[in-house]
Amino acid sequence: MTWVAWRQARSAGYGLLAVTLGFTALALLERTEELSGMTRSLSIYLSLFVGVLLGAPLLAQEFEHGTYRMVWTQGVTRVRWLAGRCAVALTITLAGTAVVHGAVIALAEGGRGRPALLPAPVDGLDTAGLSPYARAVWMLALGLLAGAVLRRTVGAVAVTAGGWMATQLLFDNGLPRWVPDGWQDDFWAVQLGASGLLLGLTALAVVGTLFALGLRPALPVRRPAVTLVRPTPIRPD
Amino acid sequence: MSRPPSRVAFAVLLAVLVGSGVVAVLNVSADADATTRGIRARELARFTATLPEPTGPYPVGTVAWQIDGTGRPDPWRPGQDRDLTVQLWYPAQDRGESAPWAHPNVARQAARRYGFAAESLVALRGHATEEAPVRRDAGVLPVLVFSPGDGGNRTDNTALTEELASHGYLVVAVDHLGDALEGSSPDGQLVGRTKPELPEDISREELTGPAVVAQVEVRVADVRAVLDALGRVAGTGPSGAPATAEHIGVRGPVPVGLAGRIDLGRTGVLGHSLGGATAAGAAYADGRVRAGVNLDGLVAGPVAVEGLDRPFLVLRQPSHTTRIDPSWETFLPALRGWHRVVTVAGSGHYSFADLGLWARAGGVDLRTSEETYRFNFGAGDNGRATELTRALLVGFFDAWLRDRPVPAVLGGPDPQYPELTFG
Repeated sequence: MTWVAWRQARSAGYGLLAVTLGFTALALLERTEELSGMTRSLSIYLSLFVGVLLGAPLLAQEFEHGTYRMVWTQGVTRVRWLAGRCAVALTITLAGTAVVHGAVIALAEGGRGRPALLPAPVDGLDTAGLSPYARAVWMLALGLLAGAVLRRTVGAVAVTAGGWMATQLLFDNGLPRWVPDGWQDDFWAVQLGASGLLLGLTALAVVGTLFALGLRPALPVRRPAVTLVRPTPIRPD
Repeated sequence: MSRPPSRVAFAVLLAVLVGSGVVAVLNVSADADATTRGIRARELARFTATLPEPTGPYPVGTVAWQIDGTGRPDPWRPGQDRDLTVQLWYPAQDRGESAPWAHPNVARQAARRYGFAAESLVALRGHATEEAPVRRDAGVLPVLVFSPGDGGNRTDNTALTEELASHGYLVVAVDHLGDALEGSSPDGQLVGRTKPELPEDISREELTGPAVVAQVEVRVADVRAVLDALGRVAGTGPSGAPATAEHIGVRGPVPVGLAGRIDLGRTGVLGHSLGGATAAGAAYADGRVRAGVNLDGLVAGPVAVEGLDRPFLVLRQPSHTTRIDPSWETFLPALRGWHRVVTVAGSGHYSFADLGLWARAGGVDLRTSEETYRFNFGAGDNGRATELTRALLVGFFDAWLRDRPVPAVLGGPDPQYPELTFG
């Protein structure tokens, strides 16, 4: 299963590898030239690549090529198939984000003889801490949802890119203003708040994807036992 | 590529996931650490800056002058004659309200440059009273011209200039306009830095090259123009009346009792960093200069090779060696008058400027790497470095401008001053 999922994600995986190498090269460049802060500020675009290269085509291409039917008839349950593809895509996403984030810290900032210093938790929110990861995972999920609903790669890519811009707007204008008084200087509160919001959106997108694929997620609702014959109600005396 | 067994594929997936997780945790904690330091630095930026009390017997007075049209075109501000702003400190008759360290325009911009909150420096006051009458029993005043470092302003070394004034000197610090980052007119109007910038990663060889020499030449000419102007003020006679002296090219109030008390026969120069180069250059070029001090600066121009026959003192931080500064290779052996090269243990380059007193309190160490911090501000206590520098300067100029014996602090290693080494 893992191998099939990798084969299916391979071209997207290579695309993201190229993007990751590009950011690493940029980080090395920043170290030698006076381009202070460039790699970190450009790293916001990594999640766009995740959504557009990896997330959006993942399901949309299955529908375009009809490959999903083949998989579904191979004795693999739809849930296992989806879980396998998501696990591989998630691993690629987290690995790419960790490498780019590490390059920003270790190559671009650490090597210049001046330690990175982020003046306030909110100032670095879109590039620092947990948010790069939460953001990349959210863009992956949004791409999946768009692909599952639209079943067309071009449309899914467009919706995902639009979602990325909306997310950026959220980071630029929304989140910094919503931080409650007293949390302003608490790195973990600000980070967990923002990442929690994105992971909440991610959960919604996953549920939406399952619905769009006709896979009812197991919701904690009591279901009646399936019976063919409706039992006769017992009338109270 | 053939299909590996599914267990292997799964193991690889898991390994990549765990590896990414570990890297992510390291990254996030690095960001958390950087942000925590950022928050702390922001808090510290609102520190209260202070300057140490001068230790001399006299209260201190201060006044700023503009020295007009020194008769040469301004190389850094084309189309106009070169003018300068100078700040004077002198022994005062009485102590009044202390003047601000600098005009708010200057203090605000300097604070931003250092990463301090504006009020830290805007609210700072020195220990000098503006336009106070000159101390009547201080006799005639030996003259010291102070040249600040590259980009430095006339009040950047107030802890030293006030100290010398409290010991009976007329100290005149120069705003080399066009060089000073917060250069300003006497009433605080900022004058931008327009001189050509030296390359940031200037090579060891270029340190003694023509670009540096040209800049030091301008500064040396500035110092000589200041001495000329002081000569003209001294020539207005000992009437003692306050005067604005536009006809002598000096604009600004002349404190009561100053005119007849300027003793240019006993003139010294001193400076920090590029100002130290200026001091050495002025001592070489101008016969009026009888003694000079270079505070941790390089030396440029002919003096770097030919040296000096006059008393000269060099103070250095431990890492300022001939390895990073080739000018000292030729200059130090060519000093033929009385001279000392004194190393102040634990000091850094800005331990000889007011900034050194505030660097740690203001969180500069949180915003720089340890190595950069140590080079600029030293590993030790800059309050102590200032104390030692003050004692060395007063002792040196007392010896060579006032014929007093060379004090113990300058004589050589002394258990009282374990931080000082002589070489």
